[in-house]
Amino acid sequence: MNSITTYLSITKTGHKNRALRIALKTLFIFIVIALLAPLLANDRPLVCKHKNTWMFPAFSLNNNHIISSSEIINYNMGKEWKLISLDFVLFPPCAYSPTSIDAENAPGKSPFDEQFITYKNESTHSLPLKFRHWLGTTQNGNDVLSNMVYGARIAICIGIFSMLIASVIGICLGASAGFFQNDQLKTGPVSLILNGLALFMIWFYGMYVRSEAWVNSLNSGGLLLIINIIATLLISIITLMLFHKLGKWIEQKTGLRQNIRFPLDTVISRIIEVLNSIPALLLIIAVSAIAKPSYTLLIIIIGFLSWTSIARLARAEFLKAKQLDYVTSCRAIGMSHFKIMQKQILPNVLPVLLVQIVFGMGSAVLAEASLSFIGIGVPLNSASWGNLLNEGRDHFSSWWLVVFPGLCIFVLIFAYNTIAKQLGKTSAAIEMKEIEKE
Amino acid sequence: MKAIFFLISLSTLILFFTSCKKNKQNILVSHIVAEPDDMHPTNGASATRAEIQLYTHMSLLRLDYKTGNLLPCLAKSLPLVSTDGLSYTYELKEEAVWDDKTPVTGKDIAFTTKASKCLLTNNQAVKSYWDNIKEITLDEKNPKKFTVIMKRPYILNTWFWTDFPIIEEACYDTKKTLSNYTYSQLIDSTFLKTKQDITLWANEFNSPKRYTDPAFISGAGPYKIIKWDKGVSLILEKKKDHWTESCHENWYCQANPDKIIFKLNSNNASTLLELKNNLIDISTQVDFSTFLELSKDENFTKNYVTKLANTYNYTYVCMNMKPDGQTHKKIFTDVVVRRAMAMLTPYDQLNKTIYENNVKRMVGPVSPSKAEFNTDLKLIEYNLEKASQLLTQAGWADTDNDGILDKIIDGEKVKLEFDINFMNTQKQWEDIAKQLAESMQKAKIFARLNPLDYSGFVNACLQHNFDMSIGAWQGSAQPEDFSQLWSTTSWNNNGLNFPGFGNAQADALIDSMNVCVNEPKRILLSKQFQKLVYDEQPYIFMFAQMRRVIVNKKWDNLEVYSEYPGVLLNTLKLK
Amino acid sequence: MLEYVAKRLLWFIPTLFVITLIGFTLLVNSPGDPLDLLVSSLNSRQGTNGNDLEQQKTHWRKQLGLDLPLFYISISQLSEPDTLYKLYDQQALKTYKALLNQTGNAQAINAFRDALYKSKQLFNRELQVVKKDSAQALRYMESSHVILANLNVLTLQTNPEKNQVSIQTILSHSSNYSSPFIEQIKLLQTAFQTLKNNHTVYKNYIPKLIWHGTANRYHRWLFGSSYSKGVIRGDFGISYIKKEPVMAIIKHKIIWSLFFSVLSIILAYAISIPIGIAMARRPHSKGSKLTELLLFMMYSLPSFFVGVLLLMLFANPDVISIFPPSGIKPIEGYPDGASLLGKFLESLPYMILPLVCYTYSSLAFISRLTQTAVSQQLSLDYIKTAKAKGLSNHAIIWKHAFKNSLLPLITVFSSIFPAIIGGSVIIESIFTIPGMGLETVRAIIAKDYPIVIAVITLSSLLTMLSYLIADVLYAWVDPRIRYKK
Repeated sequence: MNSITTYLSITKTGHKNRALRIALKTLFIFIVIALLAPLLANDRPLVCKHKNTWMFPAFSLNNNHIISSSEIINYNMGKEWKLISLDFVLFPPCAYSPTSIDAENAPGKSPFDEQFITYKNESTHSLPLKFRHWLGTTQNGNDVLSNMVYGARIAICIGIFSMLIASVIGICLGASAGFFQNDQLKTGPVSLILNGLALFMIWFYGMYVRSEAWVNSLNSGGLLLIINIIATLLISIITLMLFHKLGKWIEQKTGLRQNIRFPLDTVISRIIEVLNSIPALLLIIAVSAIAKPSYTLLIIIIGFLSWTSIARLARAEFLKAKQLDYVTSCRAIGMSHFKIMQKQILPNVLPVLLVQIVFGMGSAVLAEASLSFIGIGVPLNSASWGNLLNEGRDHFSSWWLVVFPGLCIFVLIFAYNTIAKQLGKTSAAIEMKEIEKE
Repeated sequence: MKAIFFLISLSTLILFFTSCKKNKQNILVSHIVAEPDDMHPTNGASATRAEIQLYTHMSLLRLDYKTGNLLPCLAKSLPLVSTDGLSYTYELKEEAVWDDKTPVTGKDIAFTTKASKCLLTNNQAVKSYWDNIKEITLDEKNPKKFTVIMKRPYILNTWFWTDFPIIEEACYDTKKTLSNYTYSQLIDSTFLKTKQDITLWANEFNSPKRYTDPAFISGAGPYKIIKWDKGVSLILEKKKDHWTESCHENWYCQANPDKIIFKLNSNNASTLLELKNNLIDISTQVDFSTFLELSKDENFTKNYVTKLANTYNYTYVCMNMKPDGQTHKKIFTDVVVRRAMAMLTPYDQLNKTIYENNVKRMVGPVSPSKAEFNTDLKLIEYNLEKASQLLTQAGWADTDNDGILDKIIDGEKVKLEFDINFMNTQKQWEDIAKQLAESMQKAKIFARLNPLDYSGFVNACLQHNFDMSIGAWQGSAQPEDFSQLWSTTSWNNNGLNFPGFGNAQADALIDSMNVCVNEPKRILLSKQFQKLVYDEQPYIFMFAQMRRVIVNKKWDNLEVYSEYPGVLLNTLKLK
Repeated sequence: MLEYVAKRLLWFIPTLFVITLIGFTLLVNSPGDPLDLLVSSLNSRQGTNGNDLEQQKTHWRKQLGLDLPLFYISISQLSEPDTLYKLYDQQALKTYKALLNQTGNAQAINAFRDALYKSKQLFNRELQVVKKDSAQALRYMESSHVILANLNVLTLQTNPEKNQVSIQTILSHSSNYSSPFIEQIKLLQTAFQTLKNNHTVYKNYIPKLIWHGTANRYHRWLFGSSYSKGVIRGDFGISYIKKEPVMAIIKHKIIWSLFFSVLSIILAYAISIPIGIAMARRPHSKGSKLTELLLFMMYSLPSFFVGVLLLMLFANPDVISIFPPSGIKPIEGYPDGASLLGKFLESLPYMILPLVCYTYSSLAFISRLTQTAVSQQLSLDYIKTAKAKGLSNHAIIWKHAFKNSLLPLITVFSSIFPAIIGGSVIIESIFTIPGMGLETVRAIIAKDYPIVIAVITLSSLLTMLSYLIADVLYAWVDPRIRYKK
């Protein structure tokens, strides 16, 4: 881990590298906005006081507040919040939720148009500044700023989580391909057979018998899917390890120690080649058209499709590192393969991999935005920059629906790309040509 | 670098030359949002195809768009009807000829009917429309005369000819195979199995070239298809010395533009730009918001007429009255809940945001512009409090305080949450669904949006596999036949009665209406029926749709009709 | 060399197999019954010809081989019947599987389903008898609805208690109907009781392997049959919506995508190679740094944003209208007898905005590649010798350095090329170019899966092929690679 901390400290101080500093700051702002989205843009007030009860509607997960048996405040009353009289009220900076509809300022008010509000006594006034739609409204009367704030959340989540999946898969596979190559991974016949059996069992009991549960969780798309995947993965890994150990034990007892070389590198390289050759955007579209669209699914699909570039890089780096002195000496003292890979090589090559991962985050954001722009494979009723752009494309006079989200997408991707590029420069370990060759 | 600069400047120059060319030919460019699936005269179903066939084909009778009555087209006059209302005798116009100058005869009519109804032809979609035909007999002395015998009296027994393009026997059946068999033989599947020659004919009739190749598609209309560039445009050209040139009093005889180009563009944004750039002469199908945007643009209205026209079409939100309780919970089985839903629909807000207050509400399934419209029924208005009361009255309450109402149904706690199905092709429906969902939330109801592709949407409706579903029906000037949409058999057979509306009384009313030839009496029955539908609230009736007509001012003689397609392209004249 | 090529070719076969397998899996898992789309449409269901529809479906199912098992082998649960794949209705299949998971007793489930089917048939016959007499019909209306609804529920419901209730409800309402129907319902009840009481759940957990031979859908899809030629000979079946052969559609649509990809690649090279070389010559000048930043920004700009902005600015009479907004040629088509050049000139105004969109983002990549390659060459000894010999700068760069750094550029070319099959989904839909991209979007929205799958499979194959060619090219030029692998 040593090298990572020094690496980070370089980037942190990074006094020479202004571009990197700015890009990191931009990204940080986006992340803060994403995290605080519900507090920055919400119909519900942050704090309000009604009949001597203090309420914190924006922080509450409930939908109701029971004041007395006869009076229940419905937190989901949308625009009503701005019309009812409260003793004290403090709204978020943008006083609209992304889905709430302000019919009075629809369809499509520009940021500079006059905006109105009609109070309970039926008098119409110009909209007070604290309720103003700063970036205009959509055709339906949704607040654009609010949608942008929540859109940041989706963009950041997509980038980070899909790349989390991609880097776990990519590093594991790439590292083992580079480290073991075609001749280093040796197993006995018994454990080979037992491993095969374990894989079959994982498929049969984990996937096939449970197909109903899989379909259900796929369609629900949310937490259920994640839990299902993680649980299955855990059980699978445990089963594999158990069978592997069992195989080893039998081999020891029976003395069947003929070693079979497993061509790991070739297999993984072929998988990468095949996956690389499939047009990613089309495949995402085709897969997400089969299941019900959800962001969880989208993250998983993007993650499962974009690990190849990380794996290729990891393979090359591990291949290089393997021949270095410190690895050879580790081997000499009898360190296990896994430990060498995890404790010795990985920390050293991680900075290089990080470049690729950050680049990948940018492309994941782009992929999501493209999908929502053509309106396929993403949930409809969600605030995403691509969705806004899609609507803006249908209403040419509503320039604010195109310009703001478009700029946001650009800035975020540019920030990611700049970070990646500058990281690459800083670590100075990456040469484009070599990656291309490997 | 210099070379590149040179290249760029050269190309801009060329560009200016090419774009300066002005179009002053007698060519009409009409915008379509969906390409016809095919142009087979009888084996097709798409709406665009029907529109194009108004100009390329002729029918026995046509609709008079001005009055909403029937107009003889190939027929000399309206048919002579026998006293039992079962046999209809027609005589064809003397001057009516095909492209090869052979006269249109009763044989052609018989052939068209046989070809449409023969079990081996590939037109499942429309076969049932001609179900009522029993037999066609030709007059032996006069080849232009024939009699159609129907199975039962029915209000639409003559109307069905209006969208039934007649085709030429000599062109579609060169060996005259079908003339050897009678109509009833061709609808007998066991008989057909024994006859090889019919199969051979059907294979030729169903072959791909008949669907798409302009050389193999022909009709008696004043225009013919000369080119079909798939995914781009379809071009019609005026036929030279067509028999209709002498007559001009009826719309179907006119052929003013030399060419009609149907230009496909399914994208709103680029259609808008094409219109602004004067590239399209006429469009009746642009999105509502695009239309509004254009009609407010002064630069645009200098060159174009923008007009909203009434139609018989309406949008609705359908609720599943008879769910199986398994895949879909029994939420809308209660009429009180359905009424509450109707009260939760923010009509004014929808009208404002989507249509900018340009559409009118519907009360029931009949357009207010029709004589049979029941004027006694009152519009249901948006009323959140009343709706909440109704829901409480129906036993829905938020017992677990999670913000969603619930109720015990069949011993199981059911939450008031459901999917709203709609088609993914139109933004309008998505907007309605979004606003509905937002409004429902205020009454503690959770509605999910469920956009579906066309076939998925239709299948979900047909198989009663939905909770709530947004759609639209296209109406016409014809007398209303409620059996398709509202009879219980239509629900049992997975027909168009999506919500499962119907009871003995309604079925009896529909049956008696369909055979009632006495118009005032039928109107009375129809009004009764509308009241029944109103009380049951199977749909939330939304808005009467408006046709968005945009026509370039260089075209004269524009008349806009309620009936599809709204504007008859062949009657437009270049100024 | 030959050995290397042979080895690569040999590896090509399994990857090809995997790609077709992925395509096939997607095709098979696409929701909905393809025959619903192929045979019927909205109105066909309302009339009396329901039977005809079923007949047609069976006919086509046989013709298209949809009644066959999926793959050469199948691994399933022991409890599953061997011909489960013949259950075409996806809803019914789901119910069947759920019941199977509960009971593990396929025989009893089949018996129950048969009894249910028979009762439905009998009931329909009952209804027809009743319908003739309208006075009677009114009397039966209520009970018939209850029975019909419950019969429908039974086909979907898997909860045993609820099924019990449903059957009881049917029995209690069936008193008015004829005795064969009541008998049948009683049979249904016993069938249900057997199903409920005879569980063999253990069978669910025993795997079963069946060999189906070559009479399977994958084999037919890949190698063809009497009806189709198979993917291997370029036949991807019939489009569900357009009812035309997929390959015919692709052939028709691919021209413009091909045209744009090739033209944009050529343009990108023509613009970015000089830029790259200029940057390599003066790597630290302000100009080249600014260019690099600009190019990098362009690289980060999403193409849909640029496309929409271009349309808003240059094809909009409210701002500037010098380019036509959509399509690819004049609305009336080309004038008769136009030459190829004439056609090109007619189409030129239509091509400029899309070309800008196609090209700008690849500029950064190619110019950077050129820059690194050329500057690497420039640092080599032979360049210094050439300089010493007194060759002009221009000659050194173009004749020596650039020529020797062409190779990486060629390989990149080969990896961009396959994108033409998919077209550019986004750019084509913004500018409504009637190419593959627009067609694919249409196909996806309409769930026209054969086209989607054909596009995915074909472009993957082309990419693989171009990898192969690039590798062989590399090996041919650089002998070290042959031995390394």
